[in-house]
Amino acid sequence: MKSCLICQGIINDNFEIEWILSLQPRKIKLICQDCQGGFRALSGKIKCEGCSRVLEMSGFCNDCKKWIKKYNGKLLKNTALYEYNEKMKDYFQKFKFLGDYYFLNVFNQELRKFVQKEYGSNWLYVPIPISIKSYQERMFNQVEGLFSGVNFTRALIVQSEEKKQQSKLNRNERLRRKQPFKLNSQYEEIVKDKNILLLDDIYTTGRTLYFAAEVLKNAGVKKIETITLAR
Amino acid sequence: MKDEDFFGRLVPLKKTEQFILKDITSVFKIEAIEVQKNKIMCNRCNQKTVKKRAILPNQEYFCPQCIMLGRITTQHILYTIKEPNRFVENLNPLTWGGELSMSQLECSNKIVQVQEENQNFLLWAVTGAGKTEILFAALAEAFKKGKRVCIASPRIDVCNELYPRLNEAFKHIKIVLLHGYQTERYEYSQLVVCTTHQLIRFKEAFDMLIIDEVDAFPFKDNSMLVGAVNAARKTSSSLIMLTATPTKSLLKEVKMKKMEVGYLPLRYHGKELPVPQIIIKSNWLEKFKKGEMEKKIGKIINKWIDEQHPFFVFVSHIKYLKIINEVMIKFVVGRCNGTTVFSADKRRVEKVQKMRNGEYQYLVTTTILERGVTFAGLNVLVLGADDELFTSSSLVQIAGRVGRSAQNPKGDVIFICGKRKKNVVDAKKQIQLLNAKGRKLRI
Ligand SMILES: [Zn+2]
Ligand SMILES: [Zn+2]
Ligand SMILES: [Zn+2]
Repeated sequence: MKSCLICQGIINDNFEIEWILSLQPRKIKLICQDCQGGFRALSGKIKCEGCSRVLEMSGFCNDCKKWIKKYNGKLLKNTALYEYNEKMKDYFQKFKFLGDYYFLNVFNQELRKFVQKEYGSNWLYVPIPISIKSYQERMFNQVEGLFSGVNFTRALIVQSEEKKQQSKLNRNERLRRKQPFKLNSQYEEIVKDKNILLLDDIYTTGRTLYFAAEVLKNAGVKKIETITLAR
Repeated sequence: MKDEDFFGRLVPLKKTEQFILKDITSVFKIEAIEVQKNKIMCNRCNQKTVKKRAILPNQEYFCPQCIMLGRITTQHILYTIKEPNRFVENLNPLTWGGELSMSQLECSNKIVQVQEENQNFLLWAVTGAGKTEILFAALAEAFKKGKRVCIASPRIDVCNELYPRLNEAFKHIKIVLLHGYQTERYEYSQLVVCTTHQLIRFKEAFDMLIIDEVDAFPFKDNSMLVGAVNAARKTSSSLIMLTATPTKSLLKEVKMKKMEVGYLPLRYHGKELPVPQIIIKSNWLEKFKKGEMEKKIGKIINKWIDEQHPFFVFVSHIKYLKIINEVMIKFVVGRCNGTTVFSADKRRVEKVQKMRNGEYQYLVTTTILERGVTFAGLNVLVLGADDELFTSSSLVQIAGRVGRSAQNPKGDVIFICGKRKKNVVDAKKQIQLLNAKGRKLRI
């Protein structure tokens, strides 16, 4: 009997008829059915065309309307696989803040397959970096964990250590904060005229991804899209 | 950091962290995590984990089993200083002026003796027997002798409830409350009130260890917590376990350890526990699913509404809350109000308060309200009491919600079952057994 990574409940690991008929290798379950059901997949939902936030009617969410103004209509196209709800918050609490690295396995396969299928080899995969201080504390970059198995191009680095104070800022101050990233100079030639897929864990206001995109645009990339686990 | 922070405690510090202690010679240190061939071994929680589950991308390892107490890795060292019992002397620590009944006093004396002789003891006391007060004399004796004491419970609610009462009873003894959801910093104190998980952080610290609601403690499946209980006690110390509903495995444990058992079968008001009434209705759930109220259940609810008594409706699973409450709302319309409660419910406390104010007459709830919450004049209905999610001990706890106040020592406990099952029958038997023991005491 196995217990669920998230709630420690018992995982009902019975052989299912669909699996037997599918002739697929057996998927190992890490979380229980209740926890699985707590995550809300976004595919098939009505969403913001800019960022994948769930909306009542198709169109753009308020955050994206602001970005349209700020960046003269040039919106990033963000795909998010799941809604950022209580369950997802709980997941990130354990994965990112408690630091249980193994939790990457809950979503890794799905994210990796999605990226490979929807984007493929014409794209460079650039993970959002974390500061040196966060890395020393956590000992892993949660974005690279979630997407592990994907071939990363680590073209971005955190340029200042102001990240630490970031959590003390309110929403408006956060939106006004300065560019936290810079280009890793080794990658100057590599990213030029390329299609870039930016990888991140959670899309909150979009501020982080727009900053990252700005750096890459200035470096002369051709096209940028973004993907996050949650919105 | 202060020397005191290390007394009887395992403090993890990174190998790169510098600290200065006055008495550096008495510090004992050990690697937080030992790397073995296929597994890692954690020296805080004493659990082994396969490497694959515990590895970090920088090739260091962490322990996933005690991670809720803060992650420790192969970059940490655990430090401790042998418990020196450095407390201010207090020869009159008890500031409680209440009185004990005869049967309470008998138990109280027994625990004083257990404390003196460093024995192990299980106290089987019914819900509402006044367990806490029974401990006061033994606690006072222990404090007088400069002993360090811990009261641990698997349940946070119990800790939160105990803490202010202990503070009242021992106004001049320093007490700290430790659990996962509270951010107050650790401080060295003579009395520690904490959740059982917190015991993992202690090492040979306590001369007396009390575990309340030990039946909620997963003895059988949790070698980590059992180990923690043993490691947190001094080699020569007393262990007192309190329960309202001893499980079979607990009784077996008691037998194996040759532990003495004491009974406190009467409530503080001296009245018997309400005996549950078992009603078999194989179609109760189908009725609710169809949006109808089952006749017999309807009759019971009507009676409670007429008498204007508050009531809980317990269900086995969160998924039943909605369908049952929808039928309830229709059924009681214009007569009273109620709502649903579950463990992750953010408005749980608020809803219980509304019931106290009389805004709600009933709550439909999962087992989250099985302990702790008390209402005068309460009745309870358990829908699907034969569901395996209701253990006999949780059914006894649920029944124990009823008849707590001296003004209203009676009340209804109704178990609705599809079939007569062992858990239901056992619960009823356990209550009857305690009542029989109680009757003998009163005569
Ligand atoms: Zn689960
Ligand atoms: Zn949007
Ligand atoms: Zn551990």
